[in-house]
Amino acid sequence: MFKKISLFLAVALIGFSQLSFEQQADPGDRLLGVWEPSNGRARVKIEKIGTKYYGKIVWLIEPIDPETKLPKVDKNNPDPALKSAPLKGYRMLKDFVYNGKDTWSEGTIYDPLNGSTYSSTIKMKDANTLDIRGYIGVQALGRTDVWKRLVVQTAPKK
Amino acid sequence: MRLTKLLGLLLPAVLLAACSGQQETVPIELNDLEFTLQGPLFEGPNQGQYVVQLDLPALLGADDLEVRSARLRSATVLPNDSLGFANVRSFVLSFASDNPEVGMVEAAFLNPLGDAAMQAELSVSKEADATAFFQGSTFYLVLDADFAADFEGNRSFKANLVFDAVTK
Repeated sequence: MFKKISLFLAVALIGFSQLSFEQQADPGDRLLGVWEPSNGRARVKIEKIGTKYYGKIVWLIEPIDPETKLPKVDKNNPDPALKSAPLKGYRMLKDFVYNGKDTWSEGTIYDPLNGSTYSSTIKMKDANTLDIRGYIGVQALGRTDVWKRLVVQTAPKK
Repeated sequence: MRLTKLLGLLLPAVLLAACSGQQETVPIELNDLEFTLQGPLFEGPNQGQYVVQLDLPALLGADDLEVRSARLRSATVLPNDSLGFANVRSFVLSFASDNPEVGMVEAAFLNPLGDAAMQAELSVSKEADATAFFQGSTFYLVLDADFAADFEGNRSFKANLVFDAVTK
């Protein structure tokens, strides 16, 4: 009987501590982490600055420019001063605001291949899958890409 | 007819002069801004943040002035720990705001860092408009350092920024 009560208390305490942790955490922070676009050519780390969310390129499948033999730079940036900024580290997702219902909006997505910036919304389909939509003007005129969370595999205990 | 033409030329000029008031360009200096990049830090880009709490009357030396436009003139990054600039490949400085109407701006960078040892003068973007950041009470400075190696502990840098602000 004593064992049962102890077990119940332990479960209740774990449940309570998890509940208080979840209450404290910002639900928008589920977006934080490292994500991979569907083409698998880059990895983007989403971080929080103030109350908004930003994603920067942290890994490229081809980090070296075959022409210059140097690390790739943002050569298509429309701002001439930024054309030699490093591409690795560039924030391609900017200014996303969490507005509930697993959706982050008001943001922009930058395509380094053509130097264009599009309005963007992010919808979390499940904990490890995002639908990222880029559009011009109205959301109907756009394209959606599916990004997957990069899950770190921990080695099994021996 | 000639009078109409003359008025047509003069009127816009008079209106412009009347609306311009007494504008003045003043430097705003933000010095000794400390950026601590929390370890463990991994090879690649890592960020440090500095929250700017704006006290415009103190910065401008007057209570009734407001910033009409602002642009970054210079940005200098200095080492602030014993590691100096070791294994730093590049720096990028950006501005961000909690205001949904104000988007992040990349303001300055230095790539590659080269052999800078004591201080790094970042190359400033001429197109980066900082005006909106001076019209709120708080904004964020984000310093991204691209590291060529992993670090277990923190890294720390300081920055001195000078803005050209048009006030009225």
